[in-house]
Amino acid sequence: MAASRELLLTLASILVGLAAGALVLAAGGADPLKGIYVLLTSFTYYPEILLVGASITMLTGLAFAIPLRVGFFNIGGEGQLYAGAIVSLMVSLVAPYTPFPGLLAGFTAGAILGFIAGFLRVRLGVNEVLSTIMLNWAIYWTSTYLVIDVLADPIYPHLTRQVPEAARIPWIPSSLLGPLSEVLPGGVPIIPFISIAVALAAWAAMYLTVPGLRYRFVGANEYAALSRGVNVDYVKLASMTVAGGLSGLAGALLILGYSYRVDTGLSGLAGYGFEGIGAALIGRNHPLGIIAASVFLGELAAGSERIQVEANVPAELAEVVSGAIIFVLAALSGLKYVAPRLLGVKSEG
Amino acid sequence: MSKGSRKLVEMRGIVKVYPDGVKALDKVDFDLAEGEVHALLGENGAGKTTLMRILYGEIRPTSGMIIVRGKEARWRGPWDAIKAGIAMVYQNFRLVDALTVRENLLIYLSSLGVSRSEAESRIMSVAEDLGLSIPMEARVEDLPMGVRQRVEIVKALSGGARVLILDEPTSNLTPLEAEGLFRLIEKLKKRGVGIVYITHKLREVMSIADRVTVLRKGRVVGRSVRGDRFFSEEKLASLMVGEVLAPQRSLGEPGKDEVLRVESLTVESGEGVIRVRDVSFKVVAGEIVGVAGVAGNGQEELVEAIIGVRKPSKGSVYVNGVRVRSARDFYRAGGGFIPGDRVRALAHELSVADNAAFIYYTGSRAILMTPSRVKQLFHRLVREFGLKAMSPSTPVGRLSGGNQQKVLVGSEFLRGFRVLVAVNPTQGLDVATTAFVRDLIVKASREGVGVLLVSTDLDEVLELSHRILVMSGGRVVGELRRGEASPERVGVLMGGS
Repeated sequence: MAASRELLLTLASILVGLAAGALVLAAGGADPLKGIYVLLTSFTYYPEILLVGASITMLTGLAFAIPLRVGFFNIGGEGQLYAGAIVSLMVSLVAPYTPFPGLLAGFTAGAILGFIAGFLRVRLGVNEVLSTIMLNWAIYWTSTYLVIDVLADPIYPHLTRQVPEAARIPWIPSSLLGPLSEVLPGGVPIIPFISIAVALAAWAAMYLTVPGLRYRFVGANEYAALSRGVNVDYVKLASMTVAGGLSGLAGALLILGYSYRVDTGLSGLAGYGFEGIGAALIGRNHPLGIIAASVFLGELAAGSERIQVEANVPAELAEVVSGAIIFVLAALSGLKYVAPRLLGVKSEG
Repeated sequence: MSKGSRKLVEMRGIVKVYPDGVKALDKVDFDLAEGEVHALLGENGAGKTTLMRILYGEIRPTSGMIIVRGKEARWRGPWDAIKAGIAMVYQNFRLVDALTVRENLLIYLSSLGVSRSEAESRIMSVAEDLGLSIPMEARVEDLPMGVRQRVEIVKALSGGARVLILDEPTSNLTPLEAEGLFRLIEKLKKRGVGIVYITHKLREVMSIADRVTVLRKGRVVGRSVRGDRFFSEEKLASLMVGEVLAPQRSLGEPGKDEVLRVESLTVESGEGVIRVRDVSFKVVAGEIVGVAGVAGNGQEELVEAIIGVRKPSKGSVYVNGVRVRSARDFYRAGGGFIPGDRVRALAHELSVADNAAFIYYTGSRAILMTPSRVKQLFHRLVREFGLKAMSPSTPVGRLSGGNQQKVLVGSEFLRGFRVLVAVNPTQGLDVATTAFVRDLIVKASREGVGVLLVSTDLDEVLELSHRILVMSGGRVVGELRRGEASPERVGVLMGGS
């Protein structure tokens, strides 16, 4: 499709969304221009929030976008991420040598959840929205039980034990950063690079391989795929499984590469799965778009930390802005279906 | 009022250019008077349907004007045209199959703002006036095609239509049903209804039309009134085709090896209705076997069972001796497929290159698909198959029907196969491309490919087949060898015996 038009549409929605945010700011008596400026430029103050937020959202964004192409709404990113986080933490405690077993286990845990929802849909026709939302809660309470009862730190009972040093994903130390070390005194986490590599791999798999082409055909014209020997059910099941795995991997990266432990309310994990839906929508379900959208959402997250201090408005405003952008995007992409009819553009029958 | 000469509608200088630059219509004039049948004659893709969809408000012309009863009309959509008394009956009827006839008619009329009681009485009076019996309580899906068409016509007239556009009205009808339609058209004429009769069948023009306008490649190439010197099958045919048709084609000699075997195949539809009944045949290397029949007599289900998409309830299919249990089996055993329905076979929002590559890699175990190889595939389609597309990344849905067909056919031929199942392979192609595709099929058969050619175009089947199987009601009701097959003999069998 006309990629430039898609990009234009997205940028226009972002502008309209920011304008809506500015209106909200003005209505609250704050300086709208300053507020928006703070929202968009805070990465220098909180680079870690941007980098970590973007890398996690990127993966949960892919986890929503990949099944969506074949017609599945994976609302289970949240639960899949919890499962990946908790399982990778447990594995790191059992095998405290390298991060790899934890990463693999986190991916697998999410993949199993994705597979369950996919299998229920393909074989039994169970709506995946219902099954994934229900699984989210099942995983939430299971995780809470594990955090409180099994993994709790004897000294800080509201937290779990920490991932052992050897099983952590290392950071790039600030001594290697040269002039950037002043902005990033703590160094740079590696997880953003892992996430970007995964997103690029997803892009390559979709657009440079034959199975990826078949996958896109299942989404675009299922009957055509069927009549050309594509096992449609298998493709759908695989896309849900991979999606679950990516959310699980996101959870593992978060634990092994940044937070190293979980609190009893899971507050360090909550929201990333759902944020991924926003990233997928803003990124137009395209892996490259999702990379950009995650960075944008990461910046909004950093901005919302600072806007309270700088512009004296609540942090929730950042969510109003991202919500407005998604809303405008949805409305504008709806236009895509309406506009051709209005213009009388139609192919010959 | 009979043969009034009052004009119902007039179209002047209609031009339609599609977004991909294809000029579908070029300064076309057309008019229709009360009580006449004006035939719009042309080959597939000549622009007949486009012209009438413009009159019906479904497509906007790029330029030109429409005049209805002396006043210029501007349609925002079909509803405006319907309110002005113009109605269109498509080949594929626009009825809700799961609802009854009554429900269908009432939904239509209520959408025009007609009250329920008024609607009931209008339907009754139209049906009575025309002497039609309409099974009001029957579900549409249970009705034969001829009756569905009558329902469509009653629907149009009770909605106040004075101009009735019939798009290839006999294409889904048995000969007997077609006779009934002609009688109905006579009655409508007497009542002053003007009828646009879209067709590519000369015989129908000769028997029903008062006037005829011939379109070729979007231009009017001839007009004729019943009685003038152009009003003959030969003259109209040469106008329509524009070039002399090639004489009977010479085919290769079939070989010995059996490449496709269908054994007592029975196929049911989803609802358990038997669509194909105990069909058996085989195709040898180098042989073209035609399957003729009126659309909807089991050909689609037969093809789906052969290519492994639909599970037969009985019987089996072998390609090169390999039993076909899934579509992948079919393609991996050397099967090739040209589907009859482009809409269902292509992904319209994906690019030309993606669609071509998807077909090209059917059944393949290849993993990598490099952009340069896909581009190369696209250029071969342009060079060897005359594909016209702006770029490999153009969405395939923006191409004209003919170019879409070239993507389908070309990619499949570049992929290669030993058995080809082709369904209406030249549908929507212009004369030159039609000949080109037929040449390809014959050439493939000369090289040892076995071909099963399923086509509703009788001329195509007669021209290309060594043997012809005639299907009716899900059975093979006759088999004719080349030489003993003639349109008449096949036609008699097609009508069902």
